[in-house]
Amino acid sequence: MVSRREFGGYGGALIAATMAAGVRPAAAQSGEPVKFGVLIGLTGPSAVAGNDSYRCMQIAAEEVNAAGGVLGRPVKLVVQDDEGRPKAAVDAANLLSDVEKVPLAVGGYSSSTALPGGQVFNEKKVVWVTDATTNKLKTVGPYCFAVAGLADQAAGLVDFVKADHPDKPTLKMAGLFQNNPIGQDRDSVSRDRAKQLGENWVYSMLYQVGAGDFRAELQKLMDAKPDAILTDVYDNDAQVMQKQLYEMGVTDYSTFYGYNLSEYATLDPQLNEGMKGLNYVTAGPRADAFMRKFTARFGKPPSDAWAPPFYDAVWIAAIAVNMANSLDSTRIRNMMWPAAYHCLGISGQGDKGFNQYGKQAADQGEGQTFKGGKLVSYTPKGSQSNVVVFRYAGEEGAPRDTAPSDADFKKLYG
Amino acid sequence: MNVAQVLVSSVISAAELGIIALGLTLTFSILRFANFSHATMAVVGAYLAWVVNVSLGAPLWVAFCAAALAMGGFGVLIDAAIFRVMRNTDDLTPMIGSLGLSLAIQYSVQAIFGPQFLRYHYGLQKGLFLFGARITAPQLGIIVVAGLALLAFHALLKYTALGKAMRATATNPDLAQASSIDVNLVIRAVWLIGTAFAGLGGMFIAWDTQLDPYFGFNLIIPVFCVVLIGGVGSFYGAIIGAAIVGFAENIGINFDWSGILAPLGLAEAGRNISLPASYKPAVAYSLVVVLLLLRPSGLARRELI
Repeated sequence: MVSRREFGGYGGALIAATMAAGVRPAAAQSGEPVKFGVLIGLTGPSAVAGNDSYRCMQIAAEEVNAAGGVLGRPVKLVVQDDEGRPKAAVDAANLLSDVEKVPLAVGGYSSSTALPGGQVFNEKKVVWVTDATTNKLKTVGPYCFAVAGLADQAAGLVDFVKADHPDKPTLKMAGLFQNNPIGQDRDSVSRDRAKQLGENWVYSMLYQVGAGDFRAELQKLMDAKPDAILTDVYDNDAQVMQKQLYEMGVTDYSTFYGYNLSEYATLDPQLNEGMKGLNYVTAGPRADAFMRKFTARFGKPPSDAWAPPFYDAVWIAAIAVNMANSLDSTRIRNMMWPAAYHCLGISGQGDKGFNQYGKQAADQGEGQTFKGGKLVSYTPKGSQSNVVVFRYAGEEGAPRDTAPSDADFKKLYG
Repeated sequence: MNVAQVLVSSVISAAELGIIALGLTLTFSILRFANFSHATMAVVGAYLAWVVNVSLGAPLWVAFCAAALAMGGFGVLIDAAIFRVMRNTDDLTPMIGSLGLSLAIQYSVQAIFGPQFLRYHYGLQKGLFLFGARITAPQLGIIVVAGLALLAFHALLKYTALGKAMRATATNPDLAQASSIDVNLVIRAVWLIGTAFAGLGGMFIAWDTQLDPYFGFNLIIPVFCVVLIGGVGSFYGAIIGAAIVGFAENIGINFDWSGILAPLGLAEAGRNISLPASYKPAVAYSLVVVLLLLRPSGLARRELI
């Protein structure tokens, strides 16, 4: 068995897999393109992040093609807009499966589309690679993979907040989340972890995405007088909320801790100064090259920390196709585990190994804070490191280099 | 609960909803169909003002005036191009037509301006501290301008020939026509005023929050709630309805029920018991159901004035 990381990144893995498949890279750009389905919100409430996510996939597909393509053929991304709506996601997933007949699909930035879209793909045995984070993705089935940590891993932020208040024996914590599958997951995970640590969870604000006016909800949140507010909101909503908080007299945002600080990165510095939290990490030698390429091509880095994992998703899928040496989706599915295990990603510090559920066995967040409008590294007061690692306990925390057996799948999904 | 703050937030919501609902009730009273494209007109108005303010660099008040006027013209154009053709059909045709128009406009706005949020050229405003509540200068402006617009419309209906013609047409269009009232002119005036009001409401909301192509869809249900509570087609009813919805949404989730439930032994005394924030939309809609059960035609009579 080749040791993990010996491949030295995707390029090596792709070439090795291509050669193993008996395909010469020189023939890569000939023949009918291999379609990779893309289901992403190009319009709708998370359209800004959705468009950046698609751009990350485009860069990955171009690199895959430059490195020899898959099965000696170029990759072609066939994109469908999920509009950020579950119904549109289901329709688009059906279209990609039945009309375009893609063997695999990538996308689903938000859980509210990734979950129903993923259920369709799984039913039709199409490999589905998402970076949405609702815990419910774990139950979708064996064709569903996630290249970013699930909501469970958000518990790391509670530990981060606790570490940032070494002098307070008991903290009053509150949550501010979207009222959708991922927001509800984040809320329950955070609450449970806070209780485990002996903290006092005083209030959960679950808001209607895109509602436009949050004054009443924010008033209630601030009336609870929490020491720390844990947040995960969409970019558009973050703009309005922070502005309305400012108008209500809030000028110190140091009590706000974000699960995704990028959502606040485009705000006026007066609206995010002092905010802290964990940002999804895009780091490492390959990440720098990717960020340079993205910025040169699109004029600015990706707006959302959850966009770069889609670059990893396309690469892992491409390697899996080559390792499978086939477009049979079940064979591709079985190669997703070794492909991810050996790959050096640009997100999550490069570690993309899947556990038995096809989800990230571990995830890492980097502590950051807003200073003068810029995100800078931040180490909690009572901690030595600014990196928070979450790893599941037991088997779930172990990345696999082979697919589970059919008997294992039966045990997992019935 | 900061009662003063909740009340101020309620008045702001009522002002923004009221001015849009007024245009909707006006078009309904004369044209007799539920115009689903009305909320989308708020979006168009907001974006037009953005073009004048940000792209052309005009001051915000100029942008608002120019966009409101342009929206009035846009309303007349839409009537001439689409709804005039449907005028003598059943009630369903223009309603479905307006739904289609609403979608077409929303996606056009998105295609032209992109999915990202935009803002007017207007700096952040720290709230002024008034009677224990914070309110920004733009929010005060919104309340004042909305109030003035409603007064102007009241004056138009009550003291001008056009207002009289509108009331007559709303009551009985055939009789109005027989009495030498130019019904087509009245209809054009209704589109002009109603769409300008929708646009103005959209500008207020965008000024208070931000612009994105989808905010019209979030307005449809609250605005229809306002009109239904007030009584479909009633000018004063729309104002009352806006106040009720604005206050219900804000007070509904901030109200501490322990004062009522504790004496009944249903809750622990002193423990705050209030509805979760996620119930905010449900509060207004529940109120609509209750009010319509008690008074199916709405609070006011179905008359323009």
